[in-house]
Amino acid sequence: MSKKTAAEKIGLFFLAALAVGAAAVFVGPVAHPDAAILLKIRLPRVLAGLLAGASLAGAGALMQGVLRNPLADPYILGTSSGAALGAALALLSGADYGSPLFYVLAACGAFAATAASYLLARTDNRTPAVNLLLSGVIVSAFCGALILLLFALKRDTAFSILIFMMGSITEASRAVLIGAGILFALGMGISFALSRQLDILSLGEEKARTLGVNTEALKLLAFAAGAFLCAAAVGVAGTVGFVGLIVPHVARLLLGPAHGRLSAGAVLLGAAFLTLMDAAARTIAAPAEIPVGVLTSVCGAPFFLWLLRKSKTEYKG
Amino acid sequence: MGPVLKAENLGYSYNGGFALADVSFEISAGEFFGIAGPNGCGKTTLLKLLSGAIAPQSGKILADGTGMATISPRRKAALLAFLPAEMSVPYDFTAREIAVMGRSPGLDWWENYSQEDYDGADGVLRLLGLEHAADKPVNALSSGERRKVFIAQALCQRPKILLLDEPTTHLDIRCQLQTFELLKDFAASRGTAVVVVSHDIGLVARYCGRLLLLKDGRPAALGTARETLAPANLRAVYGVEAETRADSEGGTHLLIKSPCKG
Repeated sequence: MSKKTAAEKIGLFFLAALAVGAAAVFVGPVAHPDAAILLKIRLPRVLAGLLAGASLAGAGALMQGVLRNPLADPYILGTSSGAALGAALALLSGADYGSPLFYVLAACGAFAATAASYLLARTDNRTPAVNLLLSGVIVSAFCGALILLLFALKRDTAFSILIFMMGSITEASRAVLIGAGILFALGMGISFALSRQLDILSLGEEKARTLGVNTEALKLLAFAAGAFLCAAAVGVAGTVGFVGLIVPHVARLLLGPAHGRLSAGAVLLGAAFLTLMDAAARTIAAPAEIPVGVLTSVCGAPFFLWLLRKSKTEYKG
Repeated sequence: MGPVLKAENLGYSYNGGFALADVSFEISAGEFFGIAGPNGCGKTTLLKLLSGAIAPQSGKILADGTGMATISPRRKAALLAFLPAEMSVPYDFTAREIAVMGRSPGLDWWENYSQEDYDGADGVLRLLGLEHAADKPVNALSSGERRKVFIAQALCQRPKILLLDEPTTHLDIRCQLQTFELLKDFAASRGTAVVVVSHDIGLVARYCGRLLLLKDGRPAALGTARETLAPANLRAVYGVEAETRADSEGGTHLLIKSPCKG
């Protein structure tokens, strides 16, 4: 694929994301066709959707590369649950939603959960796909249980945390958006800078080392970038599943596996996808709202199964 | 000028089981060196030791005059290229994308390949007769072509030492000969020390200047093809009756007759 067509495709994604974002502002019944509703409620919500979708897809592309595993995704690896646990701890300790402490703890939780999944799955200097899926499930369940435990102790906030765990784009104050934006920029900045080495890591760690890649440092940096991205996504939308799985795959089909292009495509496509999903989530059962995480999981789980079957025959773990 | 690669009394064992012991040799710049021996003789382990992927438990390796253990990963990658016996690629990278990765050791971590790097990769692909495959995903190529793409990647590294584990598996006979001829030229024209591990002693005998025969982790013979592949050595190492013949151009051909009786 020549560079020009790739750039054109990325440009198209970008336009599509913008168009979807712009259209989504107007989707749904507008009770009082007021500029105030559009600008103060719909616009921040669309921005939150764009940011969460971009972050999750960016994190997915990164994880799938660094783990050489097309089934990797922040939701499946437990990264999102870790971020949610960190965020929950911050809320319980009295930090404001979207405050620096909130995001710092979310990023720390995400990093710790990813590292835990990875280390649990590691045997003989290899990270087999099956191990990784199992350890991800375990870490996810453990973080989820801890979150429930925390909120069982503080019942008054139990409902909001349930929504949080399902993944839902509702509140997005300026502080929340700015914090997430900073983390997104940091995470993607690192991700783009690592893209050449991530390509090489696809050949396996041993081969990557003979090509001069410091594989341990690379993994550490990539996990950190993934944690920033997940903290951003969890901050604005809670734990939304499968965006990080589906979107990088579609981007890879369209743009090829080289990480520079792939990440750019995934980010734009993810932003468009989640915004679209959120528009659907708030209109399908209006005036009631479906948490957007429910919708993405409904689409994502069958996709994951399909991928698992396919990868069993092609990649042999 | 001293040897570009030197092994001194190398020893390595897997959890006390199979052991490689007392392996010493020197390889100079521009030499095409073969390592051969029956299954499980330690060929691949020896090559991994030479690549620095694993560290010897005894003895030492000097690459370009420096102890292998003290060379930084990036300098090692600029000095030495290693092609493992099996390579798998989980995603659909194109042949050009794989080949150009060989240019990576010269770049800083944030840098990307330049047009010159891509042109270089295209040149090497052309040299290997793979220009038609440059834009195709490697996983869509035949296993022989895929093998050649990884040889191209190693050549793109422009190493002083090139280590290849079974470079000609999956290649048909014509490609095997072409590949060995290319490696021999590469050694002669660039002064690269090329070290090949191969099952195919016929090919090794024809193209390698010197070779090391291993049996049960120990060196059985070291020298020119004519010396090492003497009938007595082949009987002892491989258990076959065979002899070498020189052709008019001075090449060594191996004539394998039968397995040894008894």
